[in-house]
Amino acid sequence: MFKEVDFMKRAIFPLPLFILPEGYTRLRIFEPRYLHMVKSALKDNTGFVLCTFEHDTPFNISAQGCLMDVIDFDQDDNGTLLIDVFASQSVQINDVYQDEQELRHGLVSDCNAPYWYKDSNNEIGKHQRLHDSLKDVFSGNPELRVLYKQTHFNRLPWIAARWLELLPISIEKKQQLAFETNFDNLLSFLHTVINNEFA
Amino acid sequence: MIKHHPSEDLLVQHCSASLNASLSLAVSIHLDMCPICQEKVAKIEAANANVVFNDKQVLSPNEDKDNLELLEEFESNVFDLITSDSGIDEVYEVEPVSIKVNAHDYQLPRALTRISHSKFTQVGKIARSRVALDDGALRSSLLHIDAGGEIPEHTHTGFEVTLLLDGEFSDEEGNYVPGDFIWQDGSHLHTPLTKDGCLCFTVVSSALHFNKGFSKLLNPIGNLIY
Amino acid sequence: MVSQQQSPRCEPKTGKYTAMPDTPSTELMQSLIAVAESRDKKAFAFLFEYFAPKIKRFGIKQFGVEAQAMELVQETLTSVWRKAHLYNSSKGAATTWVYTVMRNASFDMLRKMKSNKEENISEDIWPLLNESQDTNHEYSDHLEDKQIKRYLDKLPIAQREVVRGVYFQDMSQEQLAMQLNIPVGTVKSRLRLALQKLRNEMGDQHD
Repeated sequence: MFKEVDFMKRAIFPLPLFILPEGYTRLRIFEPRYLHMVKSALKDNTGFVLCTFEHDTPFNISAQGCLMDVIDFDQDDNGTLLIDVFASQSVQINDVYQDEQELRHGLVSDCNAPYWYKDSNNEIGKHQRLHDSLKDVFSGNPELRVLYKQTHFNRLPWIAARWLELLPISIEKKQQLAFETNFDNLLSFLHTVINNEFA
Repeated sequence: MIKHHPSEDLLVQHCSASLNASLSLAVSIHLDMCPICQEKVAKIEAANANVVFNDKQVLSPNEDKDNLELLEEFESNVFDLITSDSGIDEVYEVEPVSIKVNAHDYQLPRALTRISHSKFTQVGKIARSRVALDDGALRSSLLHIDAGGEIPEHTHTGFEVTLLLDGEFSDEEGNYVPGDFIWQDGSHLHTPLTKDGCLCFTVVSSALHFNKGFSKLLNPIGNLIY
Repeated sequence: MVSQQQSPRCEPKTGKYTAMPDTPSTELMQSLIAVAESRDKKAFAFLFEYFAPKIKRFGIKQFGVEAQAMELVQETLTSVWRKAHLYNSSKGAATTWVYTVMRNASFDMLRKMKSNKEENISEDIWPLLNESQDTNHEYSDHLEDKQIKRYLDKLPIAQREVVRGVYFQDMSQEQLAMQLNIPVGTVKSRLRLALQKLRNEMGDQHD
């Protein structure tokens, strides 16, 4: 028997940006198609899917994305819409098409990538330094504190995911670290960058 | 109104930088004077950009691997090198340059302001200055003809481009105005004549052959004039 | 340690797409403007990743030699970084502008190879800012850009970040250095080391 999978039709917003489950980000929305997307995401309470903009895939869509909830909105000085969004879950994206205003849609389903996010031990253990330095980053950046309505500093995968989002490396590298290597490799990478440890 | 334009083919080659420098310089001067060709060139450049930069080209696996390596190497080297300097390059200032030929004042086209040219050499009503552009067999010149002047009838073994910069002239084909871009090849015979005087930019591919009796004796003059 | 982990990325069904991907015109344009207005390195990285392989491929066609193709990549992207403020989005796509920058660089390189001349005349033939076309318009646009930049410089940093565009919002190397209280050079070398380690660890999957 095949496992039943629930597919949902969602609008998709590909951007040169990397986000993992339980991450927050702020977006500036000014293109009509994406304004439309935000409107219906709020009206129908469906959210939308944020995925990494790829150069070499159909419709520039990456295979994995995050289902985003719009949790706050604002305007900048020029009247452009700003929305704060929260990645509620990781999704797999299938059957993408474009509508007449060039907004992409696809069938999305729950996905456990990156697999380590839910499956790994939450214990901070010997990774206290990653915890402390991320806390420092949050306390040093009011914008992050405003953006993050909820933090989970007691969970190691949450800490690793936030560090991966923040690090100044290419999106391609982040994807490799998140999806193509194991959790130990990722932690070792973070230690090398953050406290110069060769674990 | 400008009636004579570079051919489509010439414009296409100009946009993809496959013309010789002298010819591209001539096309560039024409473009500054001709909104019609400016529009055409904008379209050609956009189309070229699409071919080179669209995302539809599928990389072969081999190329893809190369790209990865290329980017990895670049990420650490060239990217840092480029962005380590946050300065910007301002576009060069184009101060208009005036020249005086036989008591006539002319303003040089923008494209020629930074490229030097020799002193004018006078033979009768014709004065010529060579544009200092090293371009193989091609020679570019500024050619000034005094009022009432005429260039002896000649043919070419190659081609000749005459771009009227200022003044007017006429030949067997009709009258010409500034901006007119005239391409002639070896088969052609012509005798340009100017009532009021003119300044032209010319590009020739090889020495001229003069056909009329006396001029034949002066064949070296071909090398002098063009 | 060598990872044996199978890639957990979900593969999309590829057979059902109705069209080919479009060029990401909006994203490229925004990135080019971000580079011009705020020297945004993240935005430049996006341009870099998009254009570098394509310029290389063009260069190999043009010169037939890989080394020269790489030189063209470097020349072109240096100009994109240093001349982004000359790009006028009302006049055309970012790709067209980058194409003209690359075409000019390639022309100068070819001339250098053929005649050993050091003079660069591409900007005489194809001026990046064509005054004679519409002097007033260009000039005022240019001024406006500078005014925006001056205005941005006066804003507190937090506000500046919001004005700039929120798309590229991970940390810069400088910010990370500040956060960890170490020099930028150290951040760079740690990143390089970490990436090198990653490459070694993933070697069996990527060769």
